[in-house]
Formats: sequence, structure tokens, C-alpha cells
Amino acid sequence: MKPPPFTYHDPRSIDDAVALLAEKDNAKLLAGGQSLMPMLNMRFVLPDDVIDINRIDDLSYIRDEGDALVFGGMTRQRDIEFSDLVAQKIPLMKEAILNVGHRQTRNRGTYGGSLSHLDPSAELPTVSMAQDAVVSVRKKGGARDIAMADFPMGYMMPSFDLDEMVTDIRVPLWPEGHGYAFVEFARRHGDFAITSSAVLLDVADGGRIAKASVTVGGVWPAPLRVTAVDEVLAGETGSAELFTDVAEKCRDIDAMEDVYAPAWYRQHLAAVLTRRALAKAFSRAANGTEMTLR
Amino acid sequence: MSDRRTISVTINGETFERNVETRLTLADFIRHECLLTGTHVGCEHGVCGACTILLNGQTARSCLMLAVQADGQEIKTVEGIAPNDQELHPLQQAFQDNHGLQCGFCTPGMLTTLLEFLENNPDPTEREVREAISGNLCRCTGYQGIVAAALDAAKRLQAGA
Amino acid sequence: MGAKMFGARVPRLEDPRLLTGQGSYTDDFHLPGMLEAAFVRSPHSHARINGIDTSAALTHEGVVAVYTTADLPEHLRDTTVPFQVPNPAISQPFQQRLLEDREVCFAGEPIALVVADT
Repeated sequence: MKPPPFTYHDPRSIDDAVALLAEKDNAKLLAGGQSLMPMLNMRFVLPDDVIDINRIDDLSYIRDEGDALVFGGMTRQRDIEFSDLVAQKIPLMKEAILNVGHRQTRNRGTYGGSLSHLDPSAELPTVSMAQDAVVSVRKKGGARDIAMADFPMGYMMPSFDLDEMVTDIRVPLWPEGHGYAFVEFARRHGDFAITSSAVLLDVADGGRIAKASVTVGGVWPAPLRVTAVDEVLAGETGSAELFTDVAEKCRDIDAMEDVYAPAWYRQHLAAVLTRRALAKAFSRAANGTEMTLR
Repeated sequence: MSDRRTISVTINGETFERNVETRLTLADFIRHECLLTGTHVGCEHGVCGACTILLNGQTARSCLMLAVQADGQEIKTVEGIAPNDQELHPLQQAFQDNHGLQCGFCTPGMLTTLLEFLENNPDPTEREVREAISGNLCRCTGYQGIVAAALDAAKRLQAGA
Repeated sequence: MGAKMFGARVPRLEDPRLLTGQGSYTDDFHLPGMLEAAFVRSPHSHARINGIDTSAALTHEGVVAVYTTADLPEHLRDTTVPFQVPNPAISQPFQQRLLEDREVCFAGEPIALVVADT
């Protein structure tokens, strides 16, 4: 249970980091280490080179750009948890982050690392999908933006190349007074979710839903934005019947099957958790009404 | 020929300079290079909390860090909690008084975790304490004594013990 | 120790040592010339062993010895770990050998023992 031998690098700038990525063909970036180190300790990965990006300045920040918050890739989950900006402007993220691991792992774990690792049940990728985040990646000689909808390529495979690294994430804000809810089911507190549901509702006067965003995590190989549900909700007035009916659509998701849960159970959880999340989000919206659905 | 670096790490106020393999975990560095065996290794994949130390004042799992990452940093381990050889820190005393340990294997991790927690939450509820230690596994006590010790320690620290 | 100890809360003597990280658990010992051992275990849940090649391990830096069944004293080669509580109801007894060199029956079954200086 010890890491295999590798060559260690600790570049001091993004340029140096991407230069290394371009040069080495079997390298792994070391960010928070909370996912990579267990894999190294158990020898699930055998990189020739480990590129530690913890000593690069200016990769960890939370910036308010008015219509969005921009996070540096190395922003520690702890900083997200204690950020007033996040609490006020992306309350969905604040609610979700308290489900991510434990104090010790959040002190080291990073936003960019979580996105790059892309575990299907991870909370931050799910929230990023819900909020339509845009991920900026850089490689030697170039940079590009990837919309969250295009970010996952497959099971734990983000769509950026091996010589690219995440530098920042732009999270567009929802209007003040929007409804939000992050609900998850895990065997133990802090575990990856077996299934989670992240809901955002922009509710206008009279409880009419102007815009909805429903994302489920842990059901599919990547966080899944259930656009079918978003579309049905748009324009409708929030009610227990509406939310119950529309949440049932989640049972149609082609769910994963593994040692933790069979597919039908994930589909069931997706429907139940989405129903609960919709009610909670509606209750929290400024123009919504108090509602609890079980 | 293995990849090696010379690093300098300050642990409990004492600086250790060693030449180590870059793949050496911080936990193994603390235990086998610095001979501070109070920090324990349980699962080596970040779930049990036995290896928890304080890095620049914040708890971290030392099995999930490389020793080279701690170069130039300050670490506190369980050996650095007591104010001196004669006395125990109020948190440690509370553990003894409330039977918060049996075999003692999880205890160092519990102490470092609670030290950080009580500094940020001087007056916690029982529920908050349980959540705070949710990243530290104990096979012996059933956690009851640990929770009691934490709440007792909070009172003692507030009273200026 | 009299009747007045019954029901009394007696503080443990070992606590201060354990609370200050001075406990001595198995991996805490550092003795001069001490070696470490690791077992090579089967990654397969059920497999036949066709051969064990120890040559790469033996020449690895720091390795002092590699033991397989063939290296064990003869009387230990086929000895099995005894049942702790034998029971006539057990109709399919299976007991583990010290090191396996024929057929492994669970993932993790020990096949070889490597002794090295770290």
C-alpha cells in the first residue's frame, strides 16, 4: 500500500506545468491529492511522472464578476465552504459542499481536481452541471473553454486532453431569490452519493417557474442534466402534483449498475430525491411557497 | 535509482531535514524518518482518519500527502498537543476523564481533528461534534466517550483551563 | 483494592501515554538492523499456480530473502492452519496452508513472503 516509484515535479507556474504535460506521456497532475493519492497508494495508477501543482501561485481564488463567480482550479473545497460570496450567490454549491468528504479532505481537496477526476457521484461536478459552468483548460501554446454540458466524455473521463489542465471555472449566477436544493443519499455521511439531485428554480410572481435546472448525480456515468424535466417545468406554476409527476421522469434514465446499487434502485432514488429537491427549492425561492415532499 | 529530494519540515517546533524518496508519504516520513510514531496509519487511502495531522493549522490526512509536499511547512502531530512533559492539554485530560479511548489507535487522529474543530467551534452541539469526527473511525469505543470528551473539553477551554 | 473500588471510576494508567502519542503499536518499533516483511498475495479468487518466479524480487535493491513453500521446513509445507473450533457438522473442511503454491482459493491468499530492509 505504498506509491510506486515516479519522478516528482513541482512547477511554480502554469506555463511550466503545461510544458511538463506536453513533454511527459505518462504523467498525472497532483492537486488536492484526495483522489490521486489513494489511487497511488493502492497502485491503481502507475504514472512515470507526478506533477504537483500546489506550489503554483494564483491558481486558488474566488472572483466576483457580477454575473458569475470565477474559481481558480486549485480553490480548496474548504474555501468554497467558508466563502460568503458562494453562500450568497451560489447557495446550491454551499449546500452541496457540506456533503463532500470530511473536514480533513476538504482542507486539501480542490474544485479543479474534483472536476478533473469526474466521479459520477461527486457533488461539485453535479453542481457545476446544474449551474452550466464553463471550464477553462490550458495547454502548452493554447487555452480553451469547455461548457459543462460538453465536459464529461465518459465514465470518469473529462473531455480535455492529457496535455491540458483545468485553470479556472466560471459559474454563472442565477437571479437573486432563486430556489435551490441539493439532496443526496449516501450510506455514510461524507461518502460519495449513491444518487443525488441538484435543483435550481427561477420562480416568478405567483409561483410560476421561469426557468428550471434539474441535475442528477450518481445515476449515469457522469452528472446528468435532465433537460426533459427542465423543459416540462418551464412556464408551469409550482405545485406538489407538478413536482411529483415530473420527478417520475427520472425513472427513465438509463442508470448504472454496480456493487453499491442496482440500476432500478438508482432510478428510484433519482425520482424520489428529485421530488424532494424540487419541493425544497420551491420553498426557498422568494416567490415560491412552503412545500415538503417525501 | 529512485527519485529523491532533500526536504526540511518543522514538526511540533522542531525542524527535520532529510533526504527522501519523492514517493514517501508524509505519514511514513513522520513515523519512520522523524520517529514520531504517534501519528498512525490505518487504511492508507484517506477514510479512517488515524493519520490526521495539522498542516499550517489545518487538519489533513498525512497518508494522502507526499513528504516532499511538506517541505518548508509546519506540522503539528499528537506529540505536540500537550503543553509540556508534565501536563496534558485540556482536550487530552477530558479524554482521560471521559474514557474517550480504549486501545488508543484512533486517538491521535481524534485529538488533532478536535483541536482544529474546537478552535473554530468553541461551543458546539453534540450533533456538531459527531459530524466533526465523522472522518475518524474508532473500532473500540462506539464514539460515546469521545463525544463526551469533546463536549467536556469545549467547556474546559471556554472556562480558560 | 477493597469493596470501595466496586463501582468506582478508576482512571486508566495507560491513558497519558496513549494520549500523547507514546503508545507502541506493532509498526511503531524501530530496532537496529530491523527488517520488514510483505506478503505477495493472489489477485485471483480461484486460480492454479503454474510457477513462482522469485528472481526479480531477489535481485531488487534491499531485499534480503524471498520465501515460498519450497523454502519452508519440510514439516511446515503442507501444514494447515488448524480450525479454532472443530465441528462435526463441517462436511467440506478447508484449511489454509502457510504459503500456497498449488491452488489459491481466495483473492489475498499468501503465496510468497518478501523480507527487505524497508
